[in-house]
Amino acid sequence: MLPSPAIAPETRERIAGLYRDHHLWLLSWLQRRHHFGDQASDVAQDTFLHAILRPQQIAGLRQPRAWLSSVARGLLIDRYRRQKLEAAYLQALAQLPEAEVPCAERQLMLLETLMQIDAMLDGLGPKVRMAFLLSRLEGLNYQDIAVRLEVSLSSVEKYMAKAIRHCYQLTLET
Amino acid sequence: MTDKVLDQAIDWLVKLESSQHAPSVSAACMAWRQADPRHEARWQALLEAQACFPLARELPPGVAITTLGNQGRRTAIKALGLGLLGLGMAGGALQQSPWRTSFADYSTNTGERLRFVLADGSTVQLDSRSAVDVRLDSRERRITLREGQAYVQTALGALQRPLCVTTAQGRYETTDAAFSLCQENGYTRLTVDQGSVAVLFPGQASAQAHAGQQWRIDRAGPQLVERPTFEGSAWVRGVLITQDMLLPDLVEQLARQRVGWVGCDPAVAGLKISGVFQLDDTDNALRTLTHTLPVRLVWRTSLWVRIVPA
Repeated sequence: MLPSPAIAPETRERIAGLYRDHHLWLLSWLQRRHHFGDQASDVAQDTFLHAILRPQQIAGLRQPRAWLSSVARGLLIDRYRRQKLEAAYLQALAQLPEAEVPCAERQLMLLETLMQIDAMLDGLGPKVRMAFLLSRLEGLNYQDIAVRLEVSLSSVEKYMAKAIRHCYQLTLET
Repeated sequence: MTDKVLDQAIDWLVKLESSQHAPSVSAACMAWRQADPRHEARWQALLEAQACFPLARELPPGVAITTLGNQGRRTAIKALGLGLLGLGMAGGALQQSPWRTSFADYSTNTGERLRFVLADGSTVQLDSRSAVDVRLDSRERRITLREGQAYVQTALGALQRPLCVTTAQGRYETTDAAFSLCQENGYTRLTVDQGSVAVLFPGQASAQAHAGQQWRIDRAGPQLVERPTFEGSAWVRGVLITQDMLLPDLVEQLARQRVGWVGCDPAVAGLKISGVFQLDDTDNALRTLTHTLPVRLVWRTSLWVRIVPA
């Protein structure tokens, strides 16, 4: 017989218990986060959804609040980054002469690309990140990057090698 | 499995780009790629891993980089105040403490300033791009400066509990003072306007900072700044007042208030300037530099500006 796609009864019970005991606490924890007061209930729902999709983690949970808040924390950071990125993007577009502004559809597609790049460079140090962005997005050569970042050429080479390796390793993982 | 081929491929790509595709390097790189099919496969995989970048270059110059330049997960964690205090909550420690009466995180975006009053009547003003956590309880008043700068004014006749601010470098305690703390990269700057503030640094006797003084606290400990190059608390009034301040230092202070990037050519980095600059109009502040110093501005977009010799 094929395994049932439905949620196992004991998982269902665990989630229900988790929700009953900690949902209000999580909600108030989220509401205290200055930036996201108005999105607290969305993030709380997403957190429990995350839990439902990971029954094996729920089964061994010792400190449910610690686990829930760390999941919520990750979700908050993702939302925050996406919002920040979008705001910065719209602001940058707003500064352009009208003729240079891409059409709405293009704008959205390019925003997705930027978000993909942002996620990809996550974990790189600020200088490595900036060196790589200047090279790949602005087309600057290494010498110009060195001048702009006020570092040596060999530092730029090191930064670039690090970023190139990082991108490669990420594509291997996914 | 050690990946020697990957190391070589990265090495070649960097060499090639660094030489700006010089013919001799290009030829040597091509010879390496053709020497073994595994070389070529790895080479192609490296290029493919960066395939999303050319897409973004469709945007007009400057847009992609100004959008991405200030991002990063660490910034998000700091700005959200989701550091240690957040985890403390997660463990339930704070939640179970009956004495916890108030808990809040405050932060500002670029160009924004925020003033708020604490439950005991003390006021805190946050500068652009700043974040603090605040905790008041029956024993202490504690503020954690996570990013940027904050001006704190203790309430008159407040309870005897000390008010304590923590930065990445040391703790600052007072019962009655008005002072500005700035978290710079690797050090903290303390400017006292009224009263006095005790500077507590791990492993050292505490120092007392008095009204009118500016202190710099770095890894080595607290140090009185004999001749400050700018007024450390004037930002509260929306101005930057400098006295023989080096141009790159001035640019750093203005950059805090701006979206985008301000750079300073090394050739003009030794210039010094004295004056008053409005923080709410940094474009204008930058333009006034060109009136008094032998410099000019190069604008790539309105978000990208570089100061170069005139």
